[in-house]
Order: sequence, then structure tokens, then C-alpha cells
Amino acid sequence: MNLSTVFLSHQTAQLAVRERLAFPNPERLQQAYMRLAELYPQVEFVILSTCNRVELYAAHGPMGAVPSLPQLSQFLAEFHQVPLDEFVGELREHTGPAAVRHLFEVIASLDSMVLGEPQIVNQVKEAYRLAEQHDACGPLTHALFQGAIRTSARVRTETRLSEGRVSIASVAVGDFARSIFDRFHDKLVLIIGAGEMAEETLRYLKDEGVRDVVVVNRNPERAARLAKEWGGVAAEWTELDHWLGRRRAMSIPRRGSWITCFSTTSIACSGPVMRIAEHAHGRWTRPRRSSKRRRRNSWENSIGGPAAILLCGCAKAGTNWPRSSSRNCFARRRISQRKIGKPSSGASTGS
Amino acid sequence: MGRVSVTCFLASYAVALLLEGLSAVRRGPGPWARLGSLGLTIAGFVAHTLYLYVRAKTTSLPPLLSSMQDWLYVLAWLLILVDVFVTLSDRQAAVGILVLPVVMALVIGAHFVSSSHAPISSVQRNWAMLHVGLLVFGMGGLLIGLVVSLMYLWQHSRLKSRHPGTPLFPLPNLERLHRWNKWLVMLSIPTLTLGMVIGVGLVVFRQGGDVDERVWSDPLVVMSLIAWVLMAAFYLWMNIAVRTPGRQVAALTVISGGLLMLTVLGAQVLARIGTSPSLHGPAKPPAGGLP
Repeated sequence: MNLSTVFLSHQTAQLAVRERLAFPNPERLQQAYMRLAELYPQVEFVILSTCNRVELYAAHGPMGAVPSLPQLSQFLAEFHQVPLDEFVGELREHTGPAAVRHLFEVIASLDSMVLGEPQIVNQVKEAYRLAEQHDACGPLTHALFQGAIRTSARVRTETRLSEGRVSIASVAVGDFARSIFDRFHDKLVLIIGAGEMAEETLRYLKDEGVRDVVVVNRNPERAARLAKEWGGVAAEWTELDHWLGRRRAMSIPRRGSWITCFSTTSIACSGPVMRIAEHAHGRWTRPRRSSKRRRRNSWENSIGGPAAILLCGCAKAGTNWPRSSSRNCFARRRISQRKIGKPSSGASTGS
Repeated sequence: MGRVSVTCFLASYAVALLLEGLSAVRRGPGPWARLGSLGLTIAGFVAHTLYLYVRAKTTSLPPLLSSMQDWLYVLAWLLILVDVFVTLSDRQAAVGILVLPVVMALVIGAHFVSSSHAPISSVQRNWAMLHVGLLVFGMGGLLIGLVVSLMYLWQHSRLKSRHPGTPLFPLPNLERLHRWNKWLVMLSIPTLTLGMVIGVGLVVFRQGGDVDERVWSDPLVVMSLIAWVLMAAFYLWMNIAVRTPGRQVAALTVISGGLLMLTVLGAQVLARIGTSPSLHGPAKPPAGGLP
């Protein structure tokens, strides 16, 4: 089968690398498809870009060859203006049945940060739709992705995959934040970002009883919309440091601890608060351990203060989130395996 | 009833601790182990209570006044009472895994301290009762604080590590643990202080204002004073400091509680083996004598 996938994910690459190689919007994705069509006109492509992974699926009929890992690495380096040596070691490649198995595992959320999270299905569907829209798909990729979507539906209906908490936001609030806080109604929540994750995190926080919400976002209209929807207050992006660092000087109506949620895609998995403050100024550097400011903001020092700041949001990169039972994993892997063993017509044509 | 011995409740606590540990093993007995642990803890608690009752009847004194050994059994009994109460109110929290070792240390330690009692005059009896009562509640509070602090530090390191939300040994959240710890310290240290002041008053009263110099070489008195100074500093810091971060409070409570256990057990063992005779032990009390 002339099928390959070149990818990096949260398991293979750091957030900073994933961020630099991501295709953040449809315009960039369109440019990428156009460039790929120029470079490899006979090859079918699907690009899957989420906050946790960047994956390029390439397929070609039996008479041709798909681009190799060095060729696709070169494309990524040139397209994103990122030196090759900064990420080449973090790229992985699967070919043939291994590539099919990888996609099936991705769409079944076996490869996700939170096992069973449902967003990945829509993300794969959206990636496939956009590839189709840009005429990048062909018979092989059609068969592959349609087979993967069918498999994912079977996995979710025939196993107990969707039971329990199955999103980063739900785990962050339901498990992580509840391990820190006893009650939420007396906390002020600072949400950084106003995207899908921010909204989902807010939903879970509201369910826990949060009353006071401040939304900070680069786009003030989106922040205002989200704040209005959830009964919060929108703040300017330039005020982020102010909210993070000078929290005690704020005219907050309620005393108590603070929760800070990081929810924009770019900082979804970041760690200490300090990083966020630096990111706001375009500086992405690891804070010094001795930094007074970091000490002041670090969540471990927060409990017990009259007004403290807490990292709750999407927690730390590389965190092993609670997994579903191994029985479910095996069941899902079996379904994926069976599907690979009996591939659909399109996929088998290429093998 | 008379056949209830220390071995009965100590063995119950030991098996309960074992079951508590087994409940954390993957593919282990699961929730049944925790239920069994709770059952054994309650059984041990009942045996413990009966043992103290029998001792009180035998010596015709309340356990707090009969001997240092019984005093430690009462302390362990109080800890078990709190453990059972917390476990029944929050079945998810793995409290026993930390409380039971402390209780067992107290029970085993009690074996090495004096089991005989000194005579107490009826005039001093109520004051002595108040003295030891305040001390036992203060120490009990601080030892529970020690356990709560250990839970805090454990939970804290778990959250700092890359394995949050692990189902093994579920613990209460940090905010609740901090609140418990703070209240325990705030109540225990004044209680202990009051108990110690009454103890000093009793010594002065007993010796007619002329304090025996041996008081200041009594290991229990000396170590208690050192522990008290440190705890008083801790207490002041908690009340004066603008911010009292939970981890620091927990660490200081562990130090205070550990020092207290060392004082209670270590000094008594020293007194018993005769290395350093104590006024609180059986070795020829000057007059009356404290438990």
C-alpha cells in the first residue's frame, strides 16, 4: 500500500514544537494544500492539525510513491519557516498497514491525552472535509478516512469508551481542581482564552458552583461574548499580567482563592503561571527557579492565602490523565485491528 | 471481658492496616479490603475500649490518671475514634493508611513505658485530671494534625507529579486538609500550653513553693519545654504571618507532631530504663506524682 503518515503528537513532541508546526486556521491549511499540490501533484493528502498533533497522511496509487519522511519534513520546515533540526527528531513515520492502524487509533482516541475524548472524531472529520474541499483527497484517502470514521463509531457504540469524564476540561475541573479545592462558589476564575476549550472548561466550572468569572483573550469581542454568556467580566489581554500578578490589589467583591484556566490552543498544556505571563509578551522562556514572581504565583503556594492564584485549567504537559479500563482499551484495539485486517476496498487497492 | 489484651486490638489494627494497603494493589481485593479494614478497625476500637474500661476498674482510677502506659492507650484510642469517624463520613478518603501506623506506634511504644501509677491525693486529683486531660486532647489534636499534614504533603506531591487523579488511596482535597490542619493546630497548641501550665502549677503546689531541682532535669519536662517553645513559635507565625502557605503549615505540623511523639515516647522510655529518671514515671515520685 502506498500510504504513509508523518506525524508528531503530544507523546512525541513538546508543546512549543507542535505549536510551531501547527496549521492554525483554514487559510494556512489552504496554502499548505496548494503547496503540496505543487510539489506532489499525483499524491493524495490529508492534514490533521490539532493542539495535540500535526499529522500528514499521503497516499498514491500502485504506480507511484508517496513522499518520504525527509521530503515531508522539508516541506514542513519551509512552509512554517522553522529550521529542520529543531523538530526532525520528533517526527514519526508509519507506512502501509501501520499508517492505517495509527489513524484508527487516533480517531478511536486511543492516542489522545484523555482516553475516549470525543473531540478527536470531529477534528478528523473536519480535516477530511477540508482536504476534500481543497481537492487533496482521492480514492485511497476517501476509503481510509471513511473506514476510520466507521470504525470510530463502532468503537464508541460497542465499548464503554464514552463513559466517565472524557475531555481535558472535565478531567481538569472534575479531578484536578477538585483535588485542590473544597468548594468553588467563593473562587474567582480567570479564564485565559475564549475558544472551545474555554467554553467547555467554564461549563464544568459553573456546574461546580463558580460564580465570579473573568475572561481574558487576545480578541476582546470573543472575550466579551463568552463573559456575557456565562455571566462573567471580560478583561483586556494587556491586563493579563495585572490580573495574574496584582490580584490582591484588584477590587474583587469576594475574597478567596483564584482559579486560573488556560484554554487557548496555544497554551492549552502549559505549566506554571509565569509561562503564561511571559507568553503574553511574546517571550517563551523557561522561568528561573529562583524567580520571586514565579514563587509568588506558583500554585503550590496558593492554598491558605487570602487571595491566591491557582493553575487548574489544562494542567501540565505530559500529564498522564486517568485512563479508562484496560478492558476497554483492548476492546477498542481489537475493533481497530479487525478493521485493519478486513480493510475497505479503497484501502486494500493501495496495499 | 477480662481476657481482652493489648494484643487483641493491636492485631486488629495491624490486619486493618494490611487490608488498607492491599486495597491499593491493582487487581487486588478492591473495595472489600477497605470494608474489611474498617470493620477490623471498629473491632479493634471496641476491644481497645473494653481494655481501658477493665484497666480503669482494676486500678480504680480513670485511665488518664492510672499510668503513663494507659495514658498512651487513651491517646491511641482518641486517634482511632477520629479515624473511624472520618472514614465513616468520607468512605473515599484513605485515612487509615496514615492513622493506623501512628496508633500502632503509640500502642507499641506504650509497652516500653511505665505501667505503674503514683498515688494522687484527692485534693490534686481534679487538677491532675484537668492537666492530663488537656495534654491528651492537645497531643491528640496535634497527632491528628500530623496525620492530616502527611496527607496534605502526599496529595500535594501527587498533584505536582504527573499522576493526578490516581484512584489509589484517594485523599481529601488540599483546601480541606489545610483547613483541618490549621484548626487542629490553632486548638491543640493553646490546649497543650494550658495543660503544661497546670502541670507546673501542680508541681509548685505539691512542693509547697519550693520546686525540686530534679524537675528541670526530668527528660519529659525538658523535652516538653523544647517542643512547646517550637510549637509556640509555630503558633505565633500562623497568627502573625500574612500568608501561611499550606505546604509550610503541613511541614511544620509534621515536625511539631514528630517532636511531640519523640517527647512522649522517647522520654518515657529513657525514664523507664533508668537512664534519666522522670518525675512522671514510677521511680520514686517526690510527692503525689503526675501520671
